[in-house]
Amino acid sequence: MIRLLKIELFKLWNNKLVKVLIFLYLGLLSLLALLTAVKFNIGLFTFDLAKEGIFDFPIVWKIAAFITAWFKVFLAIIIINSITMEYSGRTLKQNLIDGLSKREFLFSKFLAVVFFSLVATLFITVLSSLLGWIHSADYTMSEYFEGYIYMLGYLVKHIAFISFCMLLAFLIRKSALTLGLVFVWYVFEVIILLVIRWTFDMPELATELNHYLPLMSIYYLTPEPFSQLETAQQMGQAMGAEVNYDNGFGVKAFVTALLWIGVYLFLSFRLLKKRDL
Amino acid sequence: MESVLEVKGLTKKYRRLTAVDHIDLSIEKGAVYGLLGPNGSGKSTTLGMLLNVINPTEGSFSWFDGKSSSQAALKRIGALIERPNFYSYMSAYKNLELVCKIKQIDTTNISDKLTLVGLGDRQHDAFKTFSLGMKQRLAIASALLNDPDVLILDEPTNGFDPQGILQIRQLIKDIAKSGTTVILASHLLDEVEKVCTHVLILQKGKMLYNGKVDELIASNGFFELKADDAEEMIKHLKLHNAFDKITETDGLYRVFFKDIITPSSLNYYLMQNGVSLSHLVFKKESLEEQFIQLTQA
Repeated sequence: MIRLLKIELFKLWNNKLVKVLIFLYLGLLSLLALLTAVKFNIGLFTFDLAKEGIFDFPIVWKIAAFITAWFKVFLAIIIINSITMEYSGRTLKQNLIDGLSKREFLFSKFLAVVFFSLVATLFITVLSSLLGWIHSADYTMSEYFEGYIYMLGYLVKHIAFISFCMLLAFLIRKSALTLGLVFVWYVFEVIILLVIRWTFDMPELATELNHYLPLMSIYYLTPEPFSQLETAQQMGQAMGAEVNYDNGFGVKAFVTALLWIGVYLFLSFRLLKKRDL
Repeated sequence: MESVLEVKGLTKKYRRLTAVDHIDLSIEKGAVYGLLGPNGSGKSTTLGMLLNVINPTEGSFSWFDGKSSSQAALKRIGALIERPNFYSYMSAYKNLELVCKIKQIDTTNISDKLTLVGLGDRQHDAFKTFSLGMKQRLAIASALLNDPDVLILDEPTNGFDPQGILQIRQLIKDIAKSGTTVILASHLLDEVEKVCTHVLILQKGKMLYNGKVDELIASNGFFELKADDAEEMIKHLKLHNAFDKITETDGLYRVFFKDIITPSSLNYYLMQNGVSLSHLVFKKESLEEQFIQLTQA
């Protein structure tokens, strides 16, 4: 295991492009901290994000996870690029000849996926903790640790999304096309859901399906947190809307994502095994 | 003799094309085996299957008497196939470091091997800055990295200048002398003739010959003869107790003997029988002639 991870990190770390992408990614995550300084002035009314309580425990966890999860596409690009380059440079063939098995090759890639996801999660955990410590007036330890489950969601979401990209990279073997297909697949899921909801007039089925499609289902691992803010709730109540606390986060979301990860690994291995090089 | 590789009925079919057709092969330790054939005859496909990158349609093979798994076996093999494949953004040294990690061997050998192939002073330059010949040299260094028990080379002198070709051939001979088993695929006949002890000739995926190089090249050689009285000459040649066969083209007779006959003894024999020759040349068939004969048949 460690050997395979070391092999993959050796390949990645000697690549300048990868280094640049990683620093860009961590830089973007750090930008989150700048949100603390955001103050809108709308006439007499001052909107100060920090005072809105977005950096209070435990909601800071959800907000940090929700916003920064979008940047995972950077990590996906690194993995897609590393896989497609192994095909275009025929280094995959050379690795196998040098004595790496196809299974080991796949796992070295997957371990890199897990590794990057862990780094992203750790980074955002530290960042959220710092923001929370600075801005939370008072909190209990249980409020602090309550957020860790959202970090676990963040981790699984990253592994699931990047593994999905890994499978497509093994399938397509060209970086640009793979990224394009990820986008096309996303649009495809959206259209499927819209068709079921409107054309077939089955909104319940569409809502249910939302929890199971590869890209839609991982949304529930870092659900939208803003409706839980006091301001939002007050505004909602003022407008007479029901405030719905069920955001889909829960065991079902985790199990679905883990099952999909298993499927991606299995299919990647089938592709790798069956194809001649 | 210890067996290094056993191949039984190895076959690869692509839709309509049968690239490799039931190959049987047995390679013993220390042999230098040539895989000879025209372009597209299935040499690289055969090696690809032996190296686990192409899935065979039928048949089987086992390395080292099947004592180790094919993954473990590959770590004892050094291979250079078709084109050198390395990470373009890494230096020569880093690329070999990666190979060491994969093969699970020490990195202490790297500089020595790079020096051996003449890349000592370029080892920290990126692979992408290398010429084809240098890339090929790096590939050879990589194949030698683990001091392999078996060295597999596919067109190893591709992309080399004439001095480079000589250097690489010498290197292969030195490696073979040290007891390493070598499998060499090539379409260059003199390369195989100069380096190999055994040869497997392939055409369109079929095995045409499999055996020792010197058994393929008729070791007794043959004579080209002409005489004024051809009939008399043929009569006495057929009476010779080592006579094998005679062929004729444009009045020039080719005579084959079962034993080694020197030109002077043949001349003496015919003189004694009253036949005077106008032309006498002793020749050895080259691998090239044999190869052309085999592949035309």
